[in-house]
Amino acid sequence: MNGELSFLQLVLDASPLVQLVMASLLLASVLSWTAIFERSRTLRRAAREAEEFEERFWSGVDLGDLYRGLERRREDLTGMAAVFHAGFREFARLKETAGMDPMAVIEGTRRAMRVAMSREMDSLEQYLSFLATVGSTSPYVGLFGTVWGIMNSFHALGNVKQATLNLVAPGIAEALIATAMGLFAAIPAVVAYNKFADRVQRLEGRYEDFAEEFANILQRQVHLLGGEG
Amino acid sequence: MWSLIRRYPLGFMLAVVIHLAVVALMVFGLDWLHPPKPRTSEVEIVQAKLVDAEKLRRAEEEKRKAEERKRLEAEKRRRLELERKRRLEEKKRREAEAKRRAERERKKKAEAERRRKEEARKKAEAERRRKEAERKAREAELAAQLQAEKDARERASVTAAIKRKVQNSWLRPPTVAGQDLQAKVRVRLSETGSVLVVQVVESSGNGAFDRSVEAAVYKADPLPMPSSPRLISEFRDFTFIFRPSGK
Repeated sequence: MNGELSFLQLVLDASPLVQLVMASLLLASVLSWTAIFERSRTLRRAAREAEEFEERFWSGVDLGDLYRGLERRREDLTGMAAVFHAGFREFARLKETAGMDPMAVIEGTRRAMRVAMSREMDSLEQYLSFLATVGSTSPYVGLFGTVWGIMNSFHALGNVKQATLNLVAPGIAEALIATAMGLFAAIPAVVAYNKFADRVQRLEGRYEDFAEEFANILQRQVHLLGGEG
Repeated sequence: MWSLIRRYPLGFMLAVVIHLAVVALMVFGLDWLHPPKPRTSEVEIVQAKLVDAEKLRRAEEEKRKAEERKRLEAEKRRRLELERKRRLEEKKRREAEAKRRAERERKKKAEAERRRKEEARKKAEAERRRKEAERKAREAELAAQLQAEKDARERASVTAAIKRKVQNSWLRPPTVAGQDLQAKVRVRLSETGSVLVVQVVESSGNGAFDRSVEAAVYKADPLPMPSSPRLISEFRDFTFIFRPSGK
């Protein structure tokens, strides 16, 4: 490489502020890609687990057995299983309490499931806001670096008598690198954000459907017991 | 953000690798930042030669003469060519003239022929027309004859019918029994045949008989009429002689 106009040289010759901007953009890009990989894995796993759990739930297994099986590893329950666990536990407790109105039992179970679901949603949506931030701000950050770099190069141009293209071109090139980096960071982040937001929404819908169906089953059971008593 | 990296270190590593790859591509792969090398051009070497001036002049003279000769030659050739062309043209012109004349002759003949034919055609036409007219006249005559015959027949039949009808409605008055009497009566009719006026124009000499005839005509109303309008007008006003039949 003949040194004076190489890419690396351009970056190293840039003013400290532009270098800072570039470094932060690079960091943001690396982190956003990390987040993309991480979310992709987590959401895929959550979808798979939801499918598996639903299959087990509707396979006609005794709900008490299912609950006891989950109870053993309740610390690391996620997704639908966590919702089910919370709901069933609350239901069992309320049923033990003497003189409880059946409607109140169901209401309490629903509330417990809602809380568990909200916790699950929270964990699913983690890092999505980071992706959104990178996607929306890094073009501006890059632009800022560019504007600053061009300002500098024009300022330098003012000090010489004879202005030539050779004098400004490297400055503008190095400044434009910042914009390129901003876009490079932003585009994957925006795409990934939209995709993940959609997936999270679908999962939420599934959890809600499951919670409602489970509540219906419990309600039927409560009324059955009440009729016997 | 540390939590993110801790949660999925493999992902972080992957991201770093991707970025390193991109940067490496930028640094080593893209040569667009090199200024293009200026190309050096080869200089063509020309060698000079010494030339004898006299020789040059002579050569020049020679060249000039040759050119002159060539020019003359060309001039001659050109003239010959021109002459040839002119003659050719003349010939062509004459030919064309002859052709034109022949054409004119031919046209004249054709015209005469055409006129003759036209005349013949006209004559034939006139002849044809005359014959046609004759034929028509003959036909008309025939038709008129036919019509007249038909009219006569119809007239006779209508007259007979009228007479019969009047005869049938006639009542013999008692005073004229056995006498052979006759009366001429003029009758005027409407278009449909109803009797308007009856008038005895030639009396029989017997008043009762005359009155009985008048009454018979009135009684026979309406009288039969011919079918053709021409004859109707004939029958609107007619005269006939009444003679009782032998009963």
